[in-house]
Amino acid sequence: MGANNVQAVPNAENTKKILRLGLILFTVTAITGVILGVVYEITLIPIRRTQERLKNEALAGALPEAKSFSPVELAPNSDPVVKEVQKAEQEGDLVGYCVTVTPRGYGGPMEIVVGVTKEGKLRAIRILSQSETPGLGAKAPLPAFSGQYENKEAETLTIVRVAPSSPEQIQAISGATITSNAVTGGVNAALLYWKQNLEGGN
Amino acid sequence: MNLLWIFLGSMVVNNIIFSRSIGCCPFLGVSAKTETAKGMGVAVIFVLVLAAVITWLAYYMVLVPLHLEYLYTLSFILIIAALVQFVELVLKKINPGLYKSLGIFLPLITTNCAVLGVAVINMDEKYTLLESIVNSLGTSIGFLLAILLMAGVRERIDRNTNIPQCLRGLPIALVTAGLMSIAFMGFSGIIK
Amino acid sequence: MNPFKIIKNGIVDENPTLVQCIGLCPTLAVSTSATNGVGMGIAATAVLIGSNVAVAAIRKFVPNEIRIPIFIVVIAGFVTVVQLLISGFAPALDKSLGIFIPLIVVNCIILARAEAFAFKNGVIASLFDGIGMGLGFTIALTAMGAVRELLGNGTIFDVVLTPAGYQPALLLILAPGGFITLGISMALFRFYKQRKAEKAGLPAPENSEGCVACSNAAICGILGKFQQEEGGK
Repeated sequence: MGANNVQAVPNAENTKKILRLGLILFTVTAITGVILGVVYEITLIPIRRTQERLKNEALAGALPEAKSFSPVELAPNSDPVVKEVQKAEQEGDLVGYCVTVTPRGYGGPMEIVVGVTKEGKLRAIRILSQSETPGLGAKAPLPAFSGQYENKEAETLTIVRVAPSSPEQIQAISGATITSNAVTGGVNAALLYWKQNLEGGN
Repeated sequence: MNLLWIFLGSMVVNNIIFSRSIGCCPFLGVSAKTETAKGMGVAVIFVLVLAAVITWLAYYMVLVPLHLEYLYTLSFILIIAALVQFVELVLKKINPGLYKSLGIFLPLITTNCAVLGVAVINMDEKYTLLESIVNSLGTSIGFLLAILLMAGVRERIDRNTNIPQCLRGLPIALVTAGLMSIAFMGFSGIIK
Repeated sequence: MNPFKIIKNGIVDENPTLVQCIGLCPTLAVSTSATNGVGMGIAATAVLIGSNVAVAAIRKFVPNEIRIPIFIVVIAGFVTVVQLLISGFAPALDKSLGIFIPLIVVNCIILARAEAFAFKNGVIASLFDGIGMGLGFTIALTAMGAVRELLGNGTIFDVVLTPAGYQPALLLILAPGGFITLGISMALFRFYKQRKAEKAGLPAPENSEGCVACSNAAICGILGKFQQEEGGK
């Protein structure tokens, strides 16, 4: 980067040169910016569509009985880990709620959709995004781990390292306790949110 | 407490070299001698924290209000390049002594992915300005730690004549870094 | 100009990862699986080809003094395009490569080729140089990814290849595995080159390493200070 280290000597020749170089650099940047703007506009729709598709799949996976989902306003002062809540309906009848939580995993925030039935029962979870360690925490979305949450009847789940012996226990992914705890913490937060804000149909 | 966790986390648990593998070029390139390693490490602390502040301001004060978030890669790298140039000029003027010891590392830092990496991490994690500063400080101290440790080991390795020809230099340094990285994995159990 | 020769140069003689030892960060971090290796390789190759061609096309109008900032702008532009395309059409890859997509900007391979090749050669030659270097990078990355995935997870491209009783050495797909695998691959590559030189009766090839030998030394600015000749040609 030493090349454009033009010394600040006050003479007209130099000023002119600096101006010319600055102008060229500015032009290149401006052209690049415009091109990027165009590309952004073109890719905007496919990106949105992909994100929407992934989200819908996650919602449908977390509460398979529901047909339609509509966002519900978050309760004031709720746990910041709860990102959004969707009301899940089947032909006008309330089926339950999908609570999206963003607990901190090992590699950064995770996004998990937790399906809660109208009775407050955990239905299933879907991990929408995660950046956990490949081979360890990244295995969290697989049925071997995520499937354990299906139809769990407990208010608070705990992580154990061995095979679960009681219904509120979830077996951790081996070598990825932090990820397992993060997922379970997120699910617990979602269940608590239901109990505090959604119980009784709201 | 949260800030302390971010600091320790970015310094040792998610050490930028040993855990995230970001910034390895200068880490391997400038770690042959302790003296140069120290200079590089200090220069990185300086630039990284400064860059984190400015990129944070640029992102939240300019890009977000204008809905130009997708231009962050372009703007961050330009800011870093300009910043490094600027720091070099200022340092030369106000503190020639410091410039002499850090100056040669400054240009190298533009292409150091640790600087851009931390700016992007701060953005991805949605850190506040204070958290960003703490995170970048922790990260850069972690970098200094890593490069100093590595230089200490390499100075000894390079004196060893038993190493096969094809392993000398970079290959053995990489294997060493791997072993050090295993040691750093121990930290992930200590905190949290 | 022989396109085949330029491409071969990128894959074997001047392989960016194993011979020039540049662009190590993505190599270490993203080669956790063969799929990631291919993904990262293709993304970087796309940027490399784009920036090489663009730099070669505008090189007559670029003043020498500000060529590096202009290269950076061009590269950052292509990286953003690739970033947008990946998040739109390959969201899974977007997640697994994560921060390493924006970090392609500072991948020294790309800047090095802009400086050492594209700025001095025509559009077509630069195109082939981009393809060759990109392929060299992709092959090295995929091979490393395959080794690490096989030993660390028992699979390659998610296909189970090891017998049921195999206990994967998880370490290999964690950060330390990257360092160790790259170190050993590099040593093997050097060993092979040494043997070849010995057989031909030539002196052992010099091993380039560190900033002094890095083909980016000129760009980094460390060049003048360490009194080193430009690495690229």
